[in-house]
Amino acid sequence: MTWTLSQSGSQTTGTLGTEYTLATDTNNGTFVIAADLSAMNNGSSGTVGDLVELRVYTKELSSGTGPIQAWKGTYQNAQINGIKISPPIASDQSLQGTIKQVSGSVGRSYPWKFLRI
Amino acid sequence: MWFTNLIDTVIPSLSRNTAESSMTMLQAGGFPLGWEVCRGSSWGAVANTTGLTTINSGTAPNTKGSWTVLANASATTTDVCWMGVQSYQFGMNAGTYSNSWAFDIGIGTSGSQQVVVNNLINSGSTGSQCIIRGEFPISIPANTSIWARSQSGTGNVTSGLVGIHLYDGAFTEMEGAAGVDSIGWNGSLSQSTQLTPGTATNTLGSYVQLTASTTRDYMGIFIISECFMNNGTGAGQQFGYQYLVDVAIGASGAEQVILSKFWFIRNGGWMGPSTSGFVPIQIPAGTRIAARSQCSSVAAGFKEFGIVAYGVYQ
Repeated sequence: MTWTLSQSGSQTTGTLGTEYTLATDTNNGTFVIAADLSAMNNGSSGTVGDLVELRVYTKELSSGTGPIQAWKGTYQNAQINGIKISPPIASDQSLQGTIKQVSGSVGRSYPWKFLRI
Repeated sequence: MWFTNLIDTVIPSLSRNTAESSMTMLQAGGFPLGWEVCRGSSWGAVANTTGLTTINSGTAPNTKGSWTVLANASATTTDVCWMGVQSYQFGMNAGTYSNSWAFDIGIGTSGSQQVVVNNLINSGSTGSQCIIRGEFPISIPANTSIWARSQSGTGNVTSGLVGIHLYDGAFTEMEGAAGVDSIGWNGSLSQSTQLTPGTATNTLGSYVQLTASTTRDYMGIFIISECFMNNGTGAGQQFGYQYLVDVAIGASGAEQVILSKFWFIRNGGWMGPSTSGFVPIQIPAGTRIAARSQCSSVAAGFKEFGIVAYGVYQ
């Protein structure tokens, strides 16, 4: 079995506090969402460092409400491990990933992808 | 754990008998999973006094006072998976066994607060101020008000101060716990559980039960110690008494030590460090917990001290 690159792209966080949807994937499979946050940095004197939130949403039933948050990871300042990989999530309805930069330097670009198996 | 699911569902071709290769797959970047917080914030610290927030006890003995807000919902904009608590107490006059001070941490709207952390003890006195500081996992959604309230054995204590630290976490950080139970605290008397070290110096005393049966499963535990300045036998301040404390689980006579030889030192009317720190040892519901101690002194009336254990539950 091999991984399928189900979705990919690069998201620029142009506005602090805005939650950007990376993609919504309706394929049936088990996914991991990976985002490259290696561009994050500490603040300089008098400024606040980068703070980014990654979220994963799913939908339970075809008739149900959604998307509903399943995982959230928050990262602040320069990262030791630049690649953030979500826990694997089995999805038969809908899977959505988002990114929000809460503070720091506006306009950073974060590559991302959804891998599916 | 989610990484077990990773092996089962995502990488079926990976040999599960190859522990080394599976661990290599799990350790992205080579660092272990499970401990990654950020976005720390402080609440209850008062910048213009370089102090903490006063939490008055109930006016009546052994009665919780009113809730005092530490963090308003409008200000707590981050989800919380880890909390630190710090407290300062300087006014428990006499500091007798019947005069402990303890505070709760609660969440929710005014008038509907829910206790999430029970009865953290801190019983310093005018001559021997006491400080506690401890951290533990806890889950609190963003935009939740966080409060504190307290009680004391004498009532009307206005010398207890509290502050908290809150942290958000990464994907790999655990979601946090639902709350913290006190184990070995007698709320109707405002008393911790008294331990008596061995008769001879540097010898262990008998186990004292903190609970006959835990009411829930706990994912971790920490302890807070306090000394009793005056057990009615005379002047209270003693300096330099050293203690080693074991916390154990199991039936009487068959105790198994889970926290071994935690060291405290008595400095006048307070113990330092007063808090053991959170230890993620899982304890099933229905477990008996007991503690014992030894002391570097045999002076009766002064070597005794109090302890409360705290179980963190999900």
